[in-house]
Amino acid sequence: MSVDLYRLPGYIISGKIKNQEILAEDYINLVYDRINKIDVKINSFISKNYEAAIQKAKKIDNKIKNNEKTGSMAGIPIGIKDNISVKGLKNTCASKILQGYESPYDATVIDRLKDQDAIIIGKLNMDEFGMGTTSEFSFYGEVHNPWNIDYVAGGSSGGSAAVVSSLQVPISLGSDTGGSIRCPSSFCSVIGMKPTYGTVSRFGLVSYSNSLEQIGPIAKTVTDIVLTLNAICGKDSNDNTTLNKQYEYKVNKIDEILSKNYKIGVISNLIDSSDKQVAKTIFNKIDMLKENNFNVNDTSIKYSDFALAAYYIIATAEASSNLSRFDNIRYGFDFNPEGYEWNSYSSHMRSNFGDEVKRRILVGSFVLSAGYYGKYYLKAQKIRNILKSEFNRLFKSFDVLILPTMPILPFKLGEKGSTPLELYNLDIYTILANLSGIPAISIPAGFSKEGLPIGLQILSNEFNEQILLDIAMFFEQKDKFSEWNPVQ
Amino acid sequence: MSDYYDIKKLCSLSRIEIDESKIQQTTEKIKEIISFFNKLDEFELNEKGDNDTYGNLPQSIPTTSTSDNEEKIDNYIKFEKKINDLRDDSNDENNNYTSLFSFRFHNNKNGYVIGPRI
Repeated sequence: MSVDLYRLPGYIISGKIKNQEILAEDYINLVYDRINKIDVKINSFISKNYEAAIQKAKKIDNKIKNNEKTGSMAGIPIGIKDNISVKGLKNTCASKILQGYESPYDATVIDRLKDQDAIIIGKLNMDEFGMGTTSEFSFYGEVHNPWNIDYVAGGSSGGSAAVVSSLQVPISLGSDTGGSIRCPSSFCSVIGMKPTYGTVSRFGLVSYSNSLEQIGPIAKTVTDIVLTLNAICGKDSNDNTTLNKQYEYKVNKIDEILSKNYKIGVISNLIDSSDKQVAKTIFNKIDMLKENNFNVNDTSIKYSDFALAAYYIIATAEASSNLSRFDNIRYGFDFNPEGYEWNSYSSHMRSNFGDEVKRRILVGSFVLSAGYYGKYYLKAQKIRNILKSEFNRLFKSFDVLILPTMPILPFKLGEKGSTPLELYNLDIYTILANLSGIPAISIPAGFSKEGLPIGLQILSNEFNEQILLDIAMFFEQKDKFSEWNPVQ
Repeated sequence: MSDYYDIKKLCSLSRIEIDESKIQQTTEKIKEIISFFNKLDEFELNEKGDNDTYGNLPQSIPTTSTSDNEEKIDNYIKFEKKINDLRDDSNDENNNYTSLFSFRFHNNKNGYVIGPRI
């Protein structure tokens, strides 16, 4: 079997397995060989699922041999961010406090992937509880960017993006609370999508900020993104925030996409305030749209200056509530409590959170405390509502909005973060979609002169993911970005 | 906000221990974040016509349950499953968990799991 199979996208691999050109079992062995060779440099895995993956691959091979029906993702290996529950696997959220915790049940997205015969390869590194923009805040060590291992991979789903970028697996799942899928996708030059809030079930996702986060796919091709979305989207009776809608996304041909005359808004005030190389690359993409007769016009978004503060108030407030359950009584690790009083025991155990998590819990407790609630939390919610109205206004004129995913280029490990705001400010372009619940996608746009990836972000109105996929497909066809791979 | 005692108070409310040597550093970082949040003071909300109720039920929905209005409340707040039905692992009331405890928990004595004092 050709060792270059790891370069192929998931949908092609699945086709080869279904056509009996290759055995799923052989392919999964090849994937693990690749992981064992590459991941020592990247550090994208926290735990692996080798035996169960091989068993599943054998079952798929048997199904095909016996002419039984297989799922749409038969034999495709998928990596899962370590805050999404997979039965029988550790679910650490990259935190010391959950290092021994094993999930007793599958998240709904995992159930659905398994129903489609996808193969869970392992759990992926991240910022602790999803709180970070670099994947440096992990108890299991920082994730390295496959394009230059001295640089950050982005976060918080850094492992999920790096594992796809370094061709270890073709598809992964991440979660996006304020850009946690799109930021690492931009920094690692892969596609990452945050669906509309309520499209994908969050049942089984360890909550950080419930009202903001969504699970979404990361891959190198739009077709793999579509395949995964069709598997995981839909109503779930275990998550009352999911909507009862039918989702069936398609991979449209370029002629069909061009015939739709999409109206594209360029958020020029945000592009202008980006790093010069980022802005230049994004304007090149806009030129490409104009050359292909898309209806492109400049626009601007109001209130974005206030959105970041509003986002961090809401996110920390929800985090302080959600993380109160980690007291080493309900979840935790072995520690002899003999001699401890109840409150001091909890406080002592919770000191095992990392510094950034502790900081966000403290800030969340502060903004919710009596006397400050109206000044911070209530005002943040009102700004969130006004921002949503602003997007509603923009989407009356445009089908999609275009801006950079990140305002700056990837930077060296340890270079930023001496103050929390230095990192928080990097989320300025991504938090807009989370606050307003709309879908967003980051696609590879090009590289800086130093060879560092730059991402283009596309936003659409709620439940208009198909338009995002169409525009992404246009760029994939024109740029052939799915063939951009880091040197191994 | 915020000095040493404010941070100690927040730690107590959040049930988090911070090493004495890190209190000063933590205080400075939290002060920086709160100062950033104060940017919202520049935002004039009244001009933007925001009329959302932010979590308050509409006045037509009763907030206390009586036999007359239960149906009205049920129609407004719909949950497809009871909380105890969310997970597929079941709670067996008749099971003796002693063997499970001794297997899963290292800190046990005479068949009981050791917990902190209340």
